Amino acid sequence: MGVLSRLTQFATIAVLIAGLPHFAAAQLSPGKLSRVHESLEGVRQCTSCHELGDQTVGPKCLTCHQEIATRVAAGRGLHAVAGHEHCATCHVEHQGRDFELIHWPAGPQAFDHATAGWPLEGAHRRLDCRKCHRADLLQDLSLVRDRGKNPGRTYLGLGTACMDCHRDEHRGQFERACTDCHRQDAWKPAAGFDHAKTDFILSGKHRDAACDRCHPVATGTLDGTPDTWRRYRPVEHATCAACHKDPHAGSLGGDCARCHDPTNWRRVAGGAFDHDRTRYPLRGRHAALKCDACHRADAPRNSLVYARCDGCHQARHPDAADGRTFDACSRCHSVNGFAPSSFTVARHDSTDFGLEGAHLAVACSACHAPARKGAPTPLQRPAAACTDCHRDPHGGTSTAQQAEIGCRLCHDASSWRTVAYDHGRTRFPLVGKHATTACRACHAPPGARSAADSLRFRPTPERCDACHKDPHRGQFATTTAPPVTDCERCHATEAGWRAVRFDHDRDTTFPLAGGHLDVACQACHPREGEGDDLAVRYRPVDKRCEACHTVGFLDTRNKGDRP
Amino acid sequence: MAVARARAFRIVLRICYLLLAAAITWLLVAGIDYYSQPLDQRPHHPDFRSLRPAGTVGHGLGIVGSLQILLLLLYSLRKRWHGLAGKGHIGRWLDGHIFLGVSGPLLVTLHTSFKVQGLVAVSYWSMMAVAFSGVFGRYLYLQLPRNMLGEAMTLEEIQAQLAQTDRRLRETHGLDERTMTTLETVTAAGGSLWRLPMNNILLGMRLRTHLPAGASPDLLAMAKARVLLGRRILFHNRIRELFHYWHVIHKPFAFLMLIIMVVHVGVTVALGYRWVF
Repeated sequence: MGVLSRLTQFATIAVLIAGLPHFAAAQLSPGKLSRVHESLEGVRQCTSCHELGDQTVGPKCLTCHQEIATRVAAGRGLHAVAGHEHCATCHVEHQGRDFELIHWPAGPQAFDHATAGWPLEGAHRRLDCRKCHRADLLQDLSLVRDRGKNPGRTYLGLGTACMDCHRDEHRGQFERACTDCHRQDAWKPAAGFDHAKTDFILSGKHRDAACDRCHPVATGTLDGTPDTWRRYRPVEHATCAACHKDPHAGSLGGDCARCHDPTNWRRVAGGAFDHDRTRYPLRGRHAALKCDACHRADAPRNSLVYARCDGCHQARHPDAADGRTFDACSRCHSVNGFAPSSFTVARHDSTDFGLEGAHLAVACSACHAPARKGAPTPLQRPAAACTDCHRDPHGGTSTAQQAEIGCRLCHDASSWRTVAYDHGRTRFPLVGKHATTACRACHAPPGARSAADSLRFRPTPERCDACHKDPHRGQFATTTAPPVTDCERCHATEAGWRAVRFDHDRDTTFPLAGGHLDVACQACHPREGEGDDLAVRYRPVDKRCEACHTVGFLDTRNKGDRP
Repeated sequence: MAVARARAFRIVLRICYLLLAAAITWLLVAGIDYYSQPLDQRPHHPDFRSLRPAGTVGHGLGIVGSLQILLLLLYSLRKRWHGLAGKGHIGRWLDGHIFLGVSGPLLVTLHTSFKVQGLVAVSYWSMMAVAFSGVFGRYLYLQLPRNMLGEAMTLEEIQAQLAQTDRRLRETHGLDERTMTTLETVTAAGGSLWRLPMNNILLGMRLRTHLPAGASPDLLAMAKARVLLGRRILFHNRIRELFHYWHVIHKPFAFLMLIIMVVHVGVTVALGYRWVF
């Protein structure tokens, strides 16, 4: 090798070695420290963290990280667990400024919290880390804040008691640990709670009762703000009445269990219950009934309902003014049976419609008939008028009097056929033959064929020719339209048809005198017609003398009149 | 006896290369997942504890690689210290030097886990410079023909050997003057020093077009030796000059690498990183 080569070689080595200290001073480190440890950067500070001769850095880490050192010394937390004592195992340094020293291999949610000394159970497993690891829940904020650390990032300083994170839902009612009753899976139900271990063992229906039936929500204030909570203690339970309303109003005493089974209030221990002690002693047919005949499962819980008959029985007389009360029913019925009723005929007389006559023999149902079979029987009947029950056989032809007085105007209750009517109160008093004439003779309806055809009273014409045949063939009728014949001008009802009150001198224009007085009527008023149509002609009669007499006539007549 | 020893050495050397290749392959396959991670993700990799430079495997690779690098210095000692002069064939010392020069940097590279930074990076890149310059030096070394003792031949000795080869080609293989002239032309067509390696590789193919059809393998080998010898004569002076300057690169970086490596190892040991010890 030539001299030049050796010189060049020497110069190169010299230059490289001369520059070496610069590199050595700056880059002896295997890599830059993370940002939080940036102040420890530099070849002169290696031993700030590293122990010479011992590659561990843990002891010097804890020199600064006293918050960890304290917990490690106390055997608390993740860093006190075996396998976590070497800081650099997890917190790898010299990986650059931006390297994150706290690394979660599978995310913070996958962290085995048990290694921190407090295994997550139940619902805690599903929580986000920061749900618990919050600055406001730190037990000792100074632990991190005084060291310039962000309380919002630390995982230290959290208590492990339930109350360290949770509010006491029971507001200090219990001194036991929450987990004695509650599981961490869910606050409700309190799976660990056993009511049998309390002073009040649940039995019967109490087991099925909702908690809040006995443990209501209480109100108050917490830290000056309105607050509500469920009151679990104290709960008065010495007597049933502490919670339950006594349906017997204390009449049976306070020991409910004497008669009632806690499994079912309606189940009464056989023989233990004396119904006579209640306000409703059982009598009559009630005494033979089974309890559930009245105390059915669907029956009203309020026992006061039994004070009314229709609490159990169907109301048969809904129109009774006070028919639903016990007293009302018992006026007619007894507990020995609904029938027979004690409402006698005599008691019926105390009503507005006393029974008399034929009504006494009528069955009750004839008047008090239900609207249909099985329907309630009405007690109240509007019996003001006979026609409320009876049909009017006269077809509404009653007179004004009858309309006012009713059927009693003519009839009484003993028999329909017994008629007592004063015709004299009408405009047509019955006299003479009329007084003995049967009613039907005048009041039979037109076209009546038998006696069954009821009478009609209006209109009944008062004129004679309405009933009687005119034997004079209208010779005395007026010339009015229509023509009217006034029979009573000559005939009187009292004396009969033949008792004529006709006065030839008064009533005619031809007074009888002389020989005319002895002349037979038919001499001047001959009978005319044939068969049944015979009638005496009274008018017109020619009043002239020659109408009856001739010259010879007169002689003849005189002769004739004088035998 | 010497031939058998040389042959045994070559076999052992090949076995060493095979073992090295197998070891490097296995380490790369086993650690590819870790080595392919971004640097800031590696600390979270399960192999971090073993494959990182200070890890069980990584640290061991560094120690073995460093020891190999220290061991290859024996070659320099063999050349310079009279106590070792004559101990073994210098060529085999060089072969051993080269093997350690290949193996050491490879193992150290795995030791770094391909993360080279800080002061030790200077050492690493110095090592790589030394290693690659060694490959180039080896090439230059081969361009200088040597005698049976491994000593570099002079230009006159090479020219005498060329003349002897030409004579054997004419007499033994009966090459005519035209063919010999063609060989001269091919020899001169070696191109520049930088293109020479590729032209030498393609030499066999080219000679087949110029030699008579049905040329025997012996003729082909002798003709190829003749051309290579001729080209080495042509570049003899240039290569000798380069070889001298090559030392300027190879040695200073070797020194630098060694100094920083000592510092690196010293700091490491001082901080307690003693591998399994």
